[in-house]
Amino acid sequence: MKNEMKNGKQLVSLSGEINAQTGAECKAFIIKLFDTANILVLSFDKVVYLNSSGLREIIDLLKNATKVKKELRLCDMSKDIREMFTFTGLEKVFKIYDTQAAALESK
Amino acid sequence: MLNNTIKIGDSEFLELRDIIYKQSAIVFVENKKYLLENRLSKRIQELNFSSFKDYIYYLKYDINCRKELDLMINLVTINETYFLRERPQLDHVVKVALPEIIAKGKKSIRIWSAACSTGEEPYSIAILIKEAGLQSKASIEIVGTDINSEVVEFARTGEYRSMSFRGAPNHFVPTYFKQDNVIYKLNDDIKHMVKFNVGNLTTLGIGTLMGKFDIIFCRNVLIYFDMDGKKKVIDMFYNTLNSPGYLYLGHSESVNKLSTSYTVNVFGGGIVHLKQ
Amino acid sequence: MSVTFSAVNDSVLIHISQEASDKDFGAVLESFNNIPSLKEVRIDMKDLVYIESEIQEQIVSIKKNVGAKSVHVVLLNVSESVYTTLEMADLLNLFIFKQDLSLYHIDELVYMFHNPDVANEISVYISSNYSPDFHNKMMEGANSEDSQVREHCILTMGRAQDSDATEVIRQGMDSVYPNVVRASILALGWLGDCESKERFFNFISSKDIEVAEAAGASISLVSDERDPEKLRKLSESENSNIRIIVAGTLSLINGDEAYAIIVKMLEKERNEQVRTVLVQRIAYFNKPDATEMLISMLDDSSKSVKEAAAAGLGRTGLRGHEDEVLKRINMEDVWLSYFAVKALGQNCSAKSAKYLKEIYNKSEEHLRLAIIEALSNAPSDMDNFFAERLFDSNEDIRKVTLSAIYKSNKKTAIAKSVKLLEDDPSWLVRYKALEIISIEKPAGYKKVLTKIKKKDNNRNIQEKIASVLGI
Repeated sequence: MKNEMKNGKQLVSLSGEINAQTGAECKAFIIKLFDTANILVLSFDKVVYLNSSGLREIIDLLKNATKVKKELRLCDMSKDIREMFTFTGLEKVFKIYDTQAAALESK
Repeated sequence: MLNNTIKIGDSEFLELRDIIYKQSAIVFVENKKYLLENRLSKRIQELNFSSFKDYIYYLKYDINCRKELDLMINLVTINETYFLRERPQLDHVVKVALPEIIAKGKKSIRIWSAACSTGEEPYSIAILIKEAGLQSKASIEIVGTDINSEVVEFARTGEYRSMSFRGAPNHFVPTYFKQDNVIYKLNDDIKHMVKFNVGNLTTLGIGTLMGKFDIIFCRNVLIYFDMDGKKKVIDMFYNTLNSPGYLYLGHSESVNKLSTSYTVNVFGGGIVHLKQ
Repeated sequence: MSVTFSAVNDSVLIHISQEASDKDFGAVLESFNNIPSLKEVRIDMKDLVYIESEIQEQIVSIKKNVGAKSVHVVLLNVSESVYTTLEMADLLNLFIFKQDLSLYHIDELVYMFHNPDVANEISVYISSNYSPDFHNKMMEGANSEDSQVREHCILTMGRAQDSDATEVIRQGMDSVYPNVVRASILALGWLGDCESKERFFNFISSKDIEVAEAAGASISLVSDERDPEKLRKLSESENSNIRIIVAGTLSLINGDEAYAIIVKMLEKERNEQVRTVLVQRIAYFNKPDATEMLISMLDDSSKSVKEAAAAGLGRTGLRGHEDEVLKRINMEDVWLSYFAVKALGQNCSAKSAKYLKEIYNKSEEHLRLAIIEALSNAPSDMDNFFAERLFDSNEDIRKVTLSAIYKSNKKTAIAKSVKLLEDDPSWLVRYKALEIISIEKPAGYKKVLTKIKKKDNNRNIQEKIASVLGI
């Protein structure tokens, strides 16, 4: 995981596998960044694998973010990763953008 | 939920829309795109396809494409319904329309439930007629038609699940149905009050085929036709109705400028279009 | 008041009720003069079930009044009936149509849950704009006798991650209505309610397929290391529907243990439908083993299993097993070959390209389409091959070829597009050409499009050109 500020938003680049364990680590890492911006953009560009337990952590992350009124934006998803989100029916609640540029740009 | 919703691309939508229109005269407008996605995604994945593009090729080139076209039309024309839906209109039939027709001396009355889907609407009318004791006052024939052959088949069986009874009063199910595990079977005396046929409302000559009616229900279906289609159907209904004749559309629909022949009557909870 | 309006910055919001008459519009039109920087007029029509002609005229005159200053007039929340009326009067292109759910009162939104076509949209809107008021309303609705209201209130609370509602949602699983049960299971899965997992497992055997599928999905969202074993036991069920749900759930949980179970299931399974699902699900595992398993399934006796295997390879990738896939392409198993070609085409090697070109002429129409697409990823020069295909009598071949050319040679594609837009007999091909021109916007494209709009009589082409040119 790497992160940087871009366009007034916190951009976090995730990579590798997201399962129960790594997902929990991601979640903790990102929660620590809540204070740095109101909008946090998560890029899935280098994520090669996501299972339902990993997804569980991301849903939990969304919950935490909503509680403190922070907005999460997800982007750069491969078709497979995107499908993991649509199977839950939550893809409409997550703000998912096709590209990083779109996620960073819009207000 | 284990299946995903497959997104339909712009030109895919236009092409599929054309195919559907040629088969059935039903129009899917831009803002109903999601209906196609919702209703066809599962079928597309069953066939191992991952896009609408693949599916369109299947509809065009597969050796069994005729069968698939029929199946597809069935999938996109499924309309959810349930017993006693939009009750005020049903009550109006039994409390106002039918008594008026009977008062004029008619002994033989016909009611058409156009686009009856799985049959809850015509059976609801039958049940309310029985409850109001109108069967002794006139011979009432109820006909249900739908473009979708599967739902017509289903309607004929008269077997339903709890989903169909949301909002029905407590006495409804035990009085008119026999429960068999999760299935509720409609009593024969009600079942025999309704006949079902497959039919498309825009088919040439369908009015003549159906004969004359005193009351027509066509709820939440006109939205699937374009302007020409709507006009055709409304005019066909007018010619099919006796005088007086009663046309009931969905609560958010009206004939508006499509036909000036009807008189519009607003009653509490609904509208009826009258042919005088 | 039948017609009300309010102004915020450079936008005016007007609301029209069903009782409105033309006299009520005077003040509105006046107000425009007081907003020199007016950019947008929004008209909320949510309460208009039908539109009288005098009201229609007023709306048109609003457009005329501000149109000169190129201000947008946006009609909000327009009902089907009103839309049709405007369509008949040929007024649709004067306005922009949108939905704005923030204009509805909370009770109205809940009422709209009765309309299955919009219920999901309403639910997503509420969950994205969740507030204590919404929470209270949803809690109320979750106890409603009306199963549709109950269903959607529960789904909404799940989407909003409203964990305070957990207990109420759990009660939904006791409902006699399958749609309520399904909603509850899904919502609890989204909320991560591990305590309900036992019940989820029971629901896998539900006679209602949607409830069973929801149970499988939610189990995967709250799964821990003990669950694969539980699923393995369930996989021995005599009920094929249960075995299918188990397969899906295992693929979502993923991982080595789940994979081993699915493979064992496949070894023992005799039911063709279940075998097909198992093969489909194996493709969701990101392992070399999975690819090899799928390749071995290409020779299965069942047509649907073979096709599922070939399709699955498109998902897993070939991992170097190119030759084995090439040899299974044949003219009898048309769809298997289609999927196989698609899988090869993702990273089309020179060897595959050569082979595909050779079999092109003997192939059926849809296989040819897959071949052309595959070749668009080929390393070598396909220009001649594609050029010839543009003269094919089949519209899909021409269309797919144009796409293929666009991938490798934009300049050529643009030139071809201009020509095809002019004289190809099929609107599908012309539309593809139009898409390319709209993206690339070559010099002089506006003139070309304007000319085409006058002579092309296909509605889709006309509408697309209109939207590209902004007219």
